[in-house]
Amino acid sequence: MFEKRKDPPAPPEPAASPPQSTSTPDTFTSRSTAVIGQTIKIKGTIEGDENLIIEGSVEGAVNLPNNDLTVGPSGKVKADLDAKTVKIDGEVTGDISGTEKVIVSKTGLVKGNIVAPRVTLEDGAKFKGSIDMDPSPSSSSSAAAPASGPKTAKPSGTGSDTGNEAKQEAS
Amino acid sequence: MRLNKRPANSENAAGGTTEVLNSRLLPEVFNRFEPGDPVRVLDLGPGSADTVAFLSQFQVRVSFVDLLEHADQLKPAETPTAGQALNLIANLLHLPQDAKFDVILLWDVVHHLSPNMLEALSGILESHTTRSTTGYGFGSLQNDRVHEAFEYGIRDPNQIIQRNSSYSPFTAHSQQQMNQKFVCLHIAKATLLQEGKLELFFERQY
Repeated sequence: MFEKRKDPPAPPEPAASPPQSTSTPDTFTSRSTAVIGQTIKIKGTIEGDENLIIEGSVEGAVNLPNNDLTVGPSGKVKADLDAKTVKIDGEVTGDISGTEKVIVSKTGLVKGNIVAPRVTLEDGAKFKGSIDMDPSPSSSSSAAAPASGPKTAKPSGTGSDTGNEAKQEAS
Repeated sequence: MRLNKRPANSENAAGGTTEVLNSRLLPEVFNRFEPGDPVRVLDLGPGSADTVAFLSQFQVRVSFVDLLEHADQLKPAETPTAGQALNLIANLLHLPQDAKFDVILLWDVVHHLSPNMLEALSGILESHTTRSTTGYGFGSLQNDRVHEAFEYGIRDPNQIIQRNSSYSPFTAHSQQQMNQKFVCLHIAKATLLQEGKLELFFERQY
C-alpha cells in the first residue's frame, strides 16, 4: 500500500574524518518517507513514526505527531490531520493541527480549521475556515472559541468585557 | 485613503491584478493591539495570504467565512422571512455559538446582501461581538453607483491589498440603510476615497 522512498545513502566518509556535528538534520532528509501514490485510496486512520506524502485519496484521520506530512498536488484528503509540520499542496477538507507549523501552498485548497503556532498561506492558496495561532493549550479545542480581548486593548466601548478579563487572569 | 498603485496592475500568484491602498481607518482597528496580544478576527472574505501574514504577529484566531462564495443565496429572488434569513446566514457563517470577535472585517461584503439578509447578518453577528468589538469595511458616497467587487488583504495597518475578484459588481447600501439594518455595529468614522468609495470604521453600539 505504501511505497517507501528512501533517501539516497550518504557518501562514504573518509577514514580520518572528524566526528559528526551534533546538529539535528532536517527530518525530511534524515528519515524514510512513506508515499501514498496517486492511485491509492485509503479510508481509516493512518498513524506512524515516519514522514508521509499523500498523493492519493485519504478519508479518515492522519496522526503523525512527531513527523512531517505533505499532501501533494494530486492529494485529496477528507480527514483531520495531526503532524509536526503539515504542508498542503493539494486539497484538504478537515481540521489540521501542526505542532510546529502549517503551510498552505499556492496550489493548496483547504476547507477546515488550522491550529499551529505558525501558519503560512502562500499567495494563491484557497482557504476557508479558522486559523488559530494562539499557543495557549485551551485554544486547540476550538479554532473559533470564545474571544479573549487584548491585554493592552484600549476599550472603544463604554465598559470592559468580562470575557477579556477572565482570559487575562488565566494568562 | 489614497490609491497607491504599487506596482500598477501587478500580477499575483492567483492570476489577478493587485493594488495597494493606503488606509487611514484600519489603524483605528489594529493599533490598539500590541504584537503578541490575543486577537480574535472574523473576516467575511476569503482567506488571504497577506492578512494571515499580518495577523501572525498576534496570538490570533482568525475565521475566514467567504460569504460571497454563496452570493446567489445572499440576494434570493423571493424575500425570505426574518426567521428564514437568520437561518440562512447562520448556516453560511457556521460560527461556533460562543465565538466572540475583537475585529470584524466586513470589506464590501455587506453590500452584496439584500436588506433583509443584511438585517439577519447583523442579528447573527450581534451575539459574536463584545463591547470592544470594532469593524472595518467599505461603503459608497453615491448609492446608485456601481462598484467593482474585490478581494482584500491586510499588508499592515496602513496598507490594504486589493485584488480583482470574480464576484459581481454591486451598488452599496446607503448609510441610512446601514444604520437601520446593520445595528450590531455602527459607523463611527468614514473617509471618502477615490471614485466615491468610503472607508468605514465601525464600533459596537449601545
